[in-house]
Amino acid sequence: MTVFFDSHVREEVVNLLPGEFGASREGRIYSTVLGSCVAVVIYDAANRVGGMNHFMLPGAVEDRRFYATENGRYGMYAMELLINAVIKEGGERSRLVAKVVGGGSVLAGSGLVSRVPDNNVNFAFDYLGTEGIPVVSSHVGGSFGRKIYLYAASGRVLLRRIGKGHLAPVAEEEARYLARARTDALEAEKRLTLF
Amino acid sequence: MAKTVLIVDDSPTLRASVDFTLGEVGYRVLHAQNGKEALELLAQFDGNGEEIGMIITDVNMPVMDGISFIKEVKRTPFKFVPILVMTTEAQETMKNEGRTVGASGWLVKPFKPEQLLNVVAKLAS
Repeated sequence: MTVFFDSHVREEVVNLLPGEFGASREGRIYSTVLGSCVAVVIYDAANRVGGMNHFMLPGAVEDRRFYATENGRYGMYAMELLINAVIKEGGERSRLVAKVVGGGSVLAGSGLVSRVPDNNVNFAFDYLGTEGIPVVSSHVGGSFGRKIYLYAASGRVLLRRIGKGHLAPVAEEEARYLARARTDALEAEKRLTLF
Repeated sequence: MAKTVLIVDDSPTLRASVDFTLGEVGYRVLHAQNGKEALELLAQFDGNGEEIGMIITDVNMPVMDGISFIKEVKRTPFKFVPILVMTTEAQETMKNEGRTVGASGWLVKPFKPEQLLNVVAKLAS
C-alpha cells in the first residue's frame, strides 16, 4: 500500500497491490490496477465510509463444497477483512452495498489459469449474494486490464481500460501474488493457538 | 449421538462453510448470528455438556461481540463447554484477551478445513 500524489485525479491516492485492502471514512481515494484479479468495493454512502480489496483465488472453484475448500476460504478471508474494516470505520452492515470490478482474461495459459478470471468474478457475486450485500454495479470480464479509483466516502468509482500492450507488468504482479497466495494457504499450521 | 457444535458468526457464508465441513463428518451444527442470539439459543439447552459439545465464535459481530459473548457464557451452566475463537484477528493482544476471558483456542483465518476438523475433534471430546 503506497500513498502518492496522482496527477490524473490531482489528489493524494492510496494505491492497493494484489492482496491488499483499505477502508476509510476520511474521504480517501484508493486506486488499484486489475488484470485477472477482482476488486470488490464496499461502502455505506450514508455514513460516508467505504473501502476496497484486490484479490484472486489461489485455485479452482468447483461445486457446492466451494465454501468449505481452501480457495473458498481464501476468498472469504479477503472479503471478511474488507467488510470488517468498513464496519470498524463506522459503516453499518445493513447499509453496505458493493461494486465488483475486474476479472479480465490477461494471464497467459490454459486450463486452470484460463478459468481464473471467471472464478474470481463468480466468487465475488456468489459471496455478496449469500451475505445479502447488494451489487449496485459491476464492470467485469473482457480481455483487458483496468485501473480504478475509488472515492471511499461516496463509493464513486472511476475506471480506465488498460489495453493489451500495457498489461505485461500487471500480469507479472498478479502471477507473483497468486504464487504467494498459494503458499499462504499452505501455511495454515501456524494459525492455531490452544490455550 | 452426534456431537453438537454451536457456530456464532454474523457471516452466513462462514456459517455455511463450517456447517458443511463439520456436517460432512457427522457433527450437528447450530447457528447464531451474534453473541446475544447464541445466548438465547443456549438457554434452550440444559447445560450439562452432553447437548452442546463445543462453541465456535467470531470476534467482530454486531449486537454482541465474541469476547463479550464468552464472558457471558462463563456465567452460565455452559461455562465448561470449550470455546474456539475463529477470526481474522491475529494480534497477540487480542489472543490474550481471548485467553483471559476463558477461550480454549484461537484459530486465525484463513485455515485448512482439516485443521478445523482436528481442533474440533480435540476440543469437543
